[in-house]
Amino acid sequence: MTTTLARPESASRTPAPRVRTRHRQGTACAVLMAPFFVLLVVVFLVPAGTALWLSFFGADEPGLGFGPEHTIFVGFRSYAAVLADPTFLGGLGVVALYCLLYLPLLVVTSLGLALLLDSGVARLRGSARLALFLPHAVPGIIAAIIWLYLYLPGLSPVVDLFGKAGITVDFLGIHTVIPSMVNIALWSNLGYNVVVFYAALQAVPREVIEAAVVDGAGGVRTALRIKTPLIRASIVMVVLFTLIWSLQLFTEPMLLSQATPMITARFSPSMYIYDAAFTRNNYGLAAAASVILLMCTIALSYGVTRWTNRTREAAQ
Amino acid sequence: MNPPKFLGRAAVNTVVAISVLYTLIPALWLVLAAMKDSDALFGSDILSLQGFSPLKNLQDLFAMDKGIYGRWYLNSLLYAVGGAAVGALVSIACGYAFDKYVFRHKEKLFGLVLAAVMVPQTVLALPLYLLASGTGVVGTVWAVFVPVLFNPFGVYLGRVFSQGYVPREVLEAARIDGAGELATYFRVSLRMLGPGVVTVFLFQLTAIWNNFFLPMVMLSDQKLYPVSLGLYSWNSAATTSPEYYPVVIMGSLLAVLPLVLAFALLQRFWRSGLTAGAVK
Amino acid sequence: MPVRPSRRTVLAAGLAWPLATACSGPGGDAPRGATRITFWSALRGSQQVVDAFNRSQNRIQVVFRQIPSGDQGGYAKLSNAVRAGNAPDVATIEYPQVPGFAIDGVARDITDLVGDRLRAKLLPQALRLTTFAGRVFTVPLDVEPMVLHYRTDLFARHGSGPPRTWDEFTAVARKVRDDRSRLVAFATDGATQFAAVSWQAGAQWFDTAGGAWNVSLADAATRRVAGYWQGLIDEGLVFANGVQGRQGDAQIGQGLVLARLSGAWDAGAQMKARPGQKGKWAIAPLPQWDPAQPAVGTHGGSTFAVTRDSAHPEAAMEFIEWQVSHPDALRARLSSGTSSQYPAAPDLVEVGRKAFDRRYYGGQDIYRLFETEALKIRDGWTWGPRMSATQRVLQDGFARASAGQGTLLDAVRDAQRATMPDLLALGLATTERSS
Repeated sequence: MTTTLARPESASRTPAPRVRTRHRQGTACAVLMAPFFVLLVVVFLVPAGTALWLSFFGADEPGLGFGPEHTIFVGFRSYAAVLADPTFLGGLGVVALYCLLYLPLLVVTSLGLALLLDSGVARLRGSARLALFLPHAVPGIIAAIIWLYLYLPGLSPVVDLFGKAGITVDFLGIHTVIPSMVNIALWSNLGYNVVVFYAALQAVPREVIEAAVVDGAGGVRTALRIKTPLIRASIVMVVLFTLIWSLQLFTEPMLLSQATPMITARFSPSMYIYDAAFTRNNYGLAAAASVILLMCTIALSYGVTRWTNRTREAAQ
Repeated sequence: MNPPKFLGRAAVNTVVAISVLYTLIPALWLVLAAMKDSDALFGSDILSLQGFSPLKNLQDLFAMDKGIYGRWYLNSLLYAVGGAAVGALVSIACGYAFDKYVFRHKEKLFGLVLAAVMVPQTVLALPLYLLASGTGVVGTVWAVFVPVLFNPFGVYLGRVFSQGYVPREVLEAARIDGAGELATYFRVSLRMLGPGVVTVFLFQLTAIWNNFFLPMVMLSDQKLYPVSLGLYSWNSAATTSPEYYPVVIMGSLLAVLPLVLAFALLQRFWRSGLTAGAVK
Repeated sequence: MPVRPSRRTVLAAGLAWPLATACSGPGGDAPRGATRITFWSALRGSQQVVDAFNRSQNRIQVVFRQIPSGDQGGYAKLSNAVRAGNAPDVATIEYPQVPGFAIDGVARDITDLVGDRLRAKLLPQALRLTTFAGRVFTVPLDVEPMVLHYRTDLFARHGSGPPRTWDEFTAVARKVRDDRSRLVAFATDGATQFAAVSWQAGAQWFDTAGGAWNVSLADAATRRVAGYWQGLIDEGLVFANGVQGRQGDAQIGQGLVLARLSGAWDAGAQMKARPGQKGKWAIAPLPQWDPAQPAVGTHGGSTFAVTRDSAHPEAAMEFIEWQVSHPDALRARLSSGTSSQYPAAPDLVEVGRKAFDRRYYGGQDIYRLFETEALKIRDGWTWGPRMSATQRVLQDGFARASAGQGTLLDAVRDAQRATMPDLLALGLATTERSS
């Protein structure tokens, strides 16, 4: 039982109730959105703009450089320096190899596990999902520490075990260091993605599955031909976010670099940026590298979404 | 044609079991290793009871380097819990506004928010550092606290939850009742959004507790470090001074507990959050 | 900064902090009218030197702050402080980083502040290392010729004496090799060691002729040196690993390496680190390529800079001059613990020699050896404008080479290719001679 609003007002003094409500709505909307957008400007737009600005302006030391230092517009000089820098290109290569190893492995294993859990054949699904999810609650650096100690001879029971069998296994050698990092990431993210895929699978209408079963499809075929395409959106989202996250590879190599000389100070693009800013003291270089990394991220995101849209249209 | 059901079932359960073991064994190792003292750590078999001294390890942990670990832990709690709480409220409010109100360029603005989700943290950290340097806040708590409040994914989730949990009718009823918009939000909508707030809080808590690059860039005073950065610096010291290994391990174990607890206690919230994120 | 604070540095920083704040209190012990200057250093004994200076006069009051060593974050601290506008008046910079800091505007051009009196007191080779394009940027404190530290007992067991040429070095390496020990470990984390032996062989990695930085890391002399060491590694005559970590420690501690190639300062460091090996070590000149034309490079050593923004450059310079040339300064520094630092001021050598306990080295007068070696320091060597970065990439390459990926020479070439972008990004005039 609502009470009617307001007494009759003289139209000349106050705006009509409808306009007043919209006014009030507008203010409320602004108030609710303001804190976030203030943060957006301060923490996102301004720094992004600064990065862009820094990449085009830099310290200029003509000749031998012992004269006074000026900050001038240097155009694409910082970009040229970064793209000509073999250590930056090496970092891109490392991240590319990392993604090539990690993405398929992650998607296949987490999707596979989710399908298995959804197949109705697995026992203790809830507990399994809970157990698998545990690594997500472990902060990245701690996961890296745990695995680093599992890789270090002397501390690691795994290395000891192999040692007793007469095999020396080096997880931090020049060829094994990237797979070792892939393993850390896989361990950290497997459960999370299993839960995401499982949740998406629950949304698949049961009738479709039942229809497929009636048509004679076995478990595997149902899983692959029916369920997987229906959760395509989730798969794309997982691939996208994992790709973006992988391009920023920083924590694991930073930690492992303390234990093995095979991980250099510029091993990944993010490490290169950090090194350029704080060790080489060249913010222009760091900013240019940041922008290039950002461009790569955008290009890859765009590419992935375009490709999936195209294949989706083709499938339809 | 189809393999017998029993074999299929066994195979599936084996695979699931192996993957569960894969995820649990390193965590188990952490627990067991945290119980061992320095000598047993390097010497003995992980499963033996030799050198069982969890209490001594705890003592050493909090005594090492003048008790700085306790400081780090409190810092992490402050940054993470405080930051996630404030950040969640800010993001939810904004998401709600996107959902319930109409204004010009709304979707373009939302697109900007979504674009912000895609930007890698490393790109922003350096200019943030320079800004913080310029304004003199670098090396203070604010330099680390303020940036983590920004959670565009939380705004996206907020919009989804607002759509799901706060029906339009409630708002309209409140408007007819004469209640102000903001009053409605705080007294009615927010309460209905409760589960959403907790979900966003949890996601942000994880992200902040995980945060490594930003504090590394911003902080030089060890006393302001979060636990992640603190353990990192102890680990680098461990290569020359092995007495750090046991405290890093025990410290890591303790650092894992808050998040595990949060997830265990607030299970249903993150489950719903993942569903919302996944299905969209 | 990839911070690697050792427990000592954390403790040192923690302990020095109250000291620094006490010293920086307003008035404090400072006599009225005294100029206050700040001094940052990671060198041991600096506090004692500062106290002695403050006691010796009352016109200048020096406030000291202990900072981590350069590559452990000290240089980053210095750069940040300069950028923030609160840099010290006097900073400590090692030789390889001097041109870099000069270019960055951290180290002031002190050509006019360094008087003839101070010039006369310093070893010319040392001062030339801190002079670029005719301008002096820092003042050398010590100059550390690279020498051969070796285990007399282990050498005697094999019936060998210290090698005098590199050919003899190879022969000795073959003789002493067994399943556990080698003659030396090639330092894969030692770009400065490699620089020193290349310097000795006549390399010219950088020079400033013609108003541009001429970069040629892989010149003929370096190729010769890299090939030499690669040969030793390939034949398994030397270890190839990092010498600053626990592995390097264990190798020396357990006698798995019979010798080390490092600067004169290492004699004192060795004494402090391994007192149990007293009487087992001696020091010999670095092996030569051509005994008729001996030369050596330096490994280590520090210099002092007056920062560009210092408000009291003359006072800072007076303090620096006192530190590097006054006997009381060296005595104060040595009072903090053993050191075999070889002063850049020849007059101070006597002070160092007297204070050094010779028993560890079996009575050998190592300072006499250092004197003769210091005269052999090859002139003309120039450190590069971005040496820290070059060093790091070089070390990364060495680590890969030790794991079988590439050779030492490949590492040198990679280091050159990776150095150029830094120079390009600064707009420096460069020429490159690749090979």
